[in-house]
Amino acid sequence: MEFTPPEINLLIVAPVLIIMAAGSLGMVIDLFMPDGKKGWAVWLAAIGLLLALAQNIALWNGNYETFIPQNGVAMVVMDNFAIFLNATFLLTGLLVIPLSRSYLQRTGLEKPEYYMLLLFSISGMMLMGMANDLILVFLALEVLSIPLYIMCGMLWPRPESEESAMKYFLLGAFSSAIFVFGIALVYGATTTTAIPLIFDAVAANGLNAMIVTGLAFLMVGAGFKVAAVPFHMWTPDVYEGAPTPVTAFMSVGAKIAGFAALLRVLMLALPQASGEWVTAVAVLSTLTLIIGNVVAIRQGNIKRMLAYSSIAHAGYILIAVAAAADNPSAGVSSALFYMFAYLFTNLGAFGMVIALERNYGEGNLLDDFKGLAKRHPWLSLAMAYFMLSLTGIPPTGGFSAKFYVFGAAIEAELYWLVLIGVITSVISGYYYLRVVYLMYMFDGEGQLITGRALQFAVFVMAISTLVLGLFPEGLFNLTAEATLSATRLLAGG
Amino acid sequence: MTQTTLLLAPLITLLLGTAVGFVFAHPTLNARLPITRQVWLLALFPLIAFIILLLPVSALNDGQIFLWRVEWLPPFGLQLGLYYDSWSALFALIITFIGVLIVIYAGQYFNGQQDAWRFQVYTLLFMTSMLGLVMAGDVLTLFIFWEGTSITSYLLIAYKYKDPEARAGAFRSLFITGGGGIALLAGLLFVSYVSGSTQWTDILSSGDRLRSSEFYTVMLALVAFGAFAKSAQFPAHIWLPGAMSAPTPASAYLHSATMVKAGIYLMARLNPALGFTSQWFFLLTVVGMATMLCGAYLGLKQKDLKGLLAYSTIAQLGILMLLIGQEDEESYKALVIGIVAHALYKSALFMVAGIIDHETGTRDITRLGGLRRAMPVSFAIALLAGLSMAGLPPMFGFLAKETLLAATLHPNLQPVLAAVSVFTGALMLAQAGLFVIDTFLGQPRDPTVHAHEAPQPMLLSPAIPAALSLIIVLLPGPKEESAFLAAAAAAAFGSKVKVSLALFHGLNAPLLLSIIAITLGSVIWYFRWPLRAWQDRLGAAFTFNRLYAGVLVAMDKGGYVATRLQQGKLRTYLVIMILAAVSLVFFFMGWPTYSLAGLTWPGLDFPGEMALLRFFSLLVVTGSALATLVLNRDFYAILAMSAMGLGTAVWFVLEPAPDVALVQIVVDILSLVILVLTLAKLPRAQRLKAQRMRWAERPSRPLLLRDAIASIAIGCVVALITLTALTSRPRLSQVTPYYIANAKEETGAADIVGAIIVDFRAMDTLIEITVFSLAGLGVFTLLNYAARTHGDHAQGEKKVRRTFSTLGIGGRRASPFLRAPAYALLPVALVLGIVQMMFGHDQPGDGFTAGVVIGLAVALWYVVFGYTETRARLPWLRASVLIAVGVLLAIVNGIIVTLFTDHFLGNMDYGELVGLPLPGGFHISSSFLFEIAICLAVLGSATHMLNALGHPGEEEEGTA
Repeated sequence: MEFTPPEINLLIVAPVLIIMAAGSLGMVIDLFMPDGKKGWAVWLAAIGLLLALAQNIALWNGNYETFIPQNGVAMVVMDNFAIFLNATFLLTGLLVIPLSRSYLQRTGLEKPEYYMLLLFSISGMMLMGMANDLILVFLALEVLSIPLYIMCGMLWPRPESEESAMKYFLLGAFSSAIFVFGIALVYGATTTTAIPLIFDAVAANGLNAMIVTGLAFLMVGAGFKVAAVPFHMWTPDVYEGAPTPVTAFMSVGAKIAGFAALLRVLMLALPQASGEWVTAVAVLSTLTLIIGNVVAIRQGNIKRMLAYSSIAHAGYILIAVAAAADNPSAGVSSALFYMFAYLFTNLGAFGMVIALERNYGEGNLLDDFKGLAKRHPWLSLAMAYFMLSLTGIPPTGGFSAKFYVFGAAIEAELYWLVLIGVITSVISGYYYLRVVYLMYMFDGEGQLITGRALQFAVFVMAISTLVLGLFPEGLFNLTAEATLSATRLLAGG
Repeated sequence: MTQTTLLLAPLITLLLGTAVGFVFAHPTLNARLPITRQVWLLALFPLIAFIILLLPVSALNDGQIFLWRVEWLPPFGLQLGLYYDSWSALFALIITFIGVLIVIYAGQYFNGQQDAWRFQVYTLLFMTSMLGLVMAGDVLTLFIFWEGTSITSYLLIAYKYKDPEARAGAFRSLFITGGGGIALLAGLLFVSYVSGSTQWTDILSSGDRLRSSEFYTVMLALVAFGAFAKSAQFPAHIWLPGAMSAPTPASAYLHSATMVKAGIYLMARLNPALGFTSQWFFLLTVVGMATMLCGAYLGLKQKDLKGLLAYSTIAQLGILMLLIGQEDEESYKALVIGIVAHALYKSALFMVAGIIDHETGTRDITRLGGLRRAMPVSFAIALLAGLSMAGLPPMFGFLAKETLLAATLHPNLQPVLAAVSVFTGALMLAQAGLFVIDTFLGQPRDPTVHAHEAPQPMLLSPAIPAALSLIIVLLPGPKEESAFLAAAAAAAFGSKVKVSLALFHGLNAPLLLSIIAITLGSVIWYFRWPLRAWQDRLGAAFTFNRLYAGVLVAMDKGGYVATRLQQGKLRTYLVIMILAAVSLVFFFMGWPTYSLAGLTWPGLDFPGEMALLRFFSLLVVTGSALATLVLNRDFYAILAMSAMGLGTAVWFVLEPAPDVALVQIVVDILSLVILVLTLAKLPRAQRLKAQRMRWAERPSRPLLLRDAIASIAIGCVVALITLTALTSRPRLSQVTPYYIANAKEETGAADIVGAIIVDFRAMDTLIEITVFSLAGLGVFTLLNYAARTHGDHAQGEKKVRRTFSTLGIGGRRASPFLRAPAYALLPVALVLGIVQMMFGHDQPGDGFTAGVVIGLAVALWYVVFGYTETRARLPWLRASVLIAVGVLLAIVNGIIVTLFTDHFLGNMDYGELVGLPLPGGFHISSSFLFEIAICLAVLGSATHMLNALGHPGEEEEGTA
């Protein structure tokens, strides 16, 4: 047995490397730039993201593997599943940048670090999508989380921002510890951390108490990241306190990354335990749907409302995960579809919240939406459309997504879960449509601060949501291919 | 005309009309062509649609079905499609026909209002959705248009959006009908799932499969819920009266002829697929009866003309729903006649109500009266429509009631149905009396109300349907109309239905019942005032608004309770998380397969000569763990915790796992230092407050108890798992033997831990040090941005200005006895670290421990000399630089190795390459450089943390 050091093909991981390099480059440039000049960072970040996206797309259908250590199982896989997720993360980054710009200038936050941390966090998310080894999953989790902790606290003299960062950090560290413990237990039981080998070990020796306990801890860790009830408690506090563009980024990027981890663990490492985890996921999903949607009604602060709404949407994606137990292809692809559609809708809604926030924490109340339709007819229309999409009313991306998820769940015979999903969707209409109601039916002083970049981004997201509502087929095919490549990996092909 | 054009043309025509309506948003155009004229142009569009829809009627009468389909999502087998048979045609024709009248009528109603174009646009959009709804060919198309009607009707009802009542009414209708729509979708998805297709054509032909499906009840309940909500069936009827705040043209259109019939349309459409079961019969019959009675009863007490019409509409909808539930020919005949009759008379009456409101300024029955003199034409129209509503001959409404009574007299049915129908008929007659007689006849009740006749175009719209109510039955002979109605009924019923529009069939039972109903109705009308007073006294017990409000309040309450849990306290969050994690574990372990029974428990034997030591370290660990609980001062508790870690390290040494032990020790000490430094930064008052929280004090007891339970739970779980892990894990690792066998020859390392870190899994390590560096940065940022100005950047100037101002911990200058060792320790630590790195490959110890050891020495400096002095004396200690150099070195090293060995982060001995004479066991290899990189990154991160914790802070700056 000859030792071969890890085999590495840098082109395959180039998307991540580009992002990391752009981030590091930015930090170096920052050292030599006078304090007054800050504009370059945006462009550096945007170019980095675009380059990475291009390289990422070029790898489609390649099914590459790399970082192959001595056990012969690649630590990094670049299958369509990973590429799809990477594209999601990169798009999130590309959309968050135009949303952030004017807000950062307003709040005096415009520092190159912001964009660099954004890039580092995205690189962690991408690693999460590509990870084929639990160790790498954990590392990716940390790489994506730590910059987020910092970003939450970037408005540091404001106690709310510091509180947000501190809470996120402490609870995040705690959940990470639980996650590591889970990895250790799985490793102890199977003597490997490589996801395909875990699968093989379970296939050969069956499940035992250690593996399922490890699974429980892994689910806690991932559940924290996706903000599933009862691991959601941090969400409203952190979302409210963090600078709003960071909240927007977190509500999409971190959530999707958490689901990437969850899907890798549940679907690729331990599908044989699906009989066990499907019930747990379904219960979590039920709790998440009910608590998220019901509590959202009470919120008077739009950021807190969207925090609960993001919890609720985690519940819908969990339905897809539960469906994946019985029906892997439909379950996983509907989850991917949902996350992609959610990305545009939710970021779009946050775009409006950002535009409405005059100073940090001012203009965050639902009442501030009163009368916006008169002054900003087009943006209000977009916001109304995003709200409809979040509720799941056709023709919106949100509807298509919910449709696929419920369809997958019905095929997996999770009828009661679908029922809860439907009922909670109805409930969600109550608070989403209230925003529309406030914008159109009242007179108010609300004023948006919109730059051209923000308007453009919101416009792009509204169009994307519409396209996903009218012609979901293209995306559907992509998610199906992405799922196929991941499951092929599972089959050892 | 092909099928496609025939089906698409009406919808496209209406959309074009909408676009034209939008054009009038332009102010100049709007001013040029007043709304009263605009409508003649706009009315053309529904008229054209009506004519196109009328073209294929004879083909429809022969049972032909027109279809159009387009692929939407081939992978899911989803299509969008249209479906036009005589049942659809019945509704489509009513929608477009009444639509023409409403558009014209609205022009007069909104005469002089600049932004009335909005109303026209909403109306035409609604018309498009409604037409799409009845022509939808599959589940999805239906749902899309269904929600389209909910939204457009919301816009219409809330048209006067400045009025809070209009907003509330509109919201309520959207909430109920839109919500029902989602339930409907769920139900229809079940239907499609069972029947294997979303197309009506397939669904309608798979009735047997649907009825025998195990989900039959679920899908029926969901579909019926959606339909009931839309068609204002009891108890979801409450939105309809609220929706009367809509402008009257909208009410006349939505709430008589179109939107409220959507549920009727759908249930009857699905009758061949879901009907013919006892559930279907009971559900529709009971709900229909309840709705009939509720609407008829509540309608009588209304003061508002529109409210009265709204409740009579509810009653009529109940009748129609009931008829769908009765599975016989007679009922479906009554159904189609009832639909047409109601659409005609009710739209006319609504429009008359609008005229009255428009011309007198009030719709209050108690203030109106004697209007016949001022408004003779309106009176004539109201009389015709009212007679039809009352079910009196020779109107169409009479025929509707006759057929209804005939249907309820079916021998299989209980007589209660007929009784309820008679009673409802009587009440509706009384309501019609209220509407016509009490408003137009008699004397004016309120002298302040002045009335004028409406302009002619405004009268035209209600006159047409009112006249039709009479003409339809008076036209002679067997007609095209009855054939059409028969075909429509047959399409819904599933087999042939005979319809004749003859008024009199001789003296038979229905006629007798009809006479009873008319008599009873007249009596009720005669005693209307005392009856209404009695109803008012009976009070609000019958308003189901309370149910709706109750649901909303319950949701609100639920939200409130759940929000209470969200107090913002971290410890609460942690407790919830821990308990959830524990229950998740128990949930998984609860599966009998994995019960602990089958596992062997480790015995408490301590083999070998080290037994005593092991036992001792175990004692230390448990003892200090207990001590952390008992000790009251935070400082002592932290020390005890550290002792616990050290005890564990001893255990590791004895295992023997010296590398792990080493890491454990240094990390333990480092965290001790950091914790102590942190303690020093906390406000004293907070610390004292926390320390005072103890069991003896009553108020803190429940909290502590909760925390204790959570801790014990997670502790037990972890202990349990660890115990079982020891025994049930595979004894032999798959990888360890491999590492042992290959480490030396492949990587030149005798210490396999070292080999794993820098060679076997070097990539992990690289990412790990990045993470560690990021963590250092994170702590740095989290704790204090201020550290930045005190740290690297501003160092130059600060050093000059105030050198040794801030002292060590406690603010006092440390004694020389402490300072001397501190001086000595740093070089020692540096040497120790370097040695560890040099021989890390063969001996325990590596770059990580080296970094931490040096970091510890630095920490001692911070404690002894204080922040400022330390920073001044150790100028090389710049956290960011250390991190950057470390990470870069690791990457560059990896790349250089790649050049030589083709492997990123491979292994190679530079010393050997150059031929340097080196002491034995020491190699300047790539591994060595990697160790240095790790050490630098770790040291940098540690410095970051120490900087953040140790710097004087802003408060002290002034005093120092």
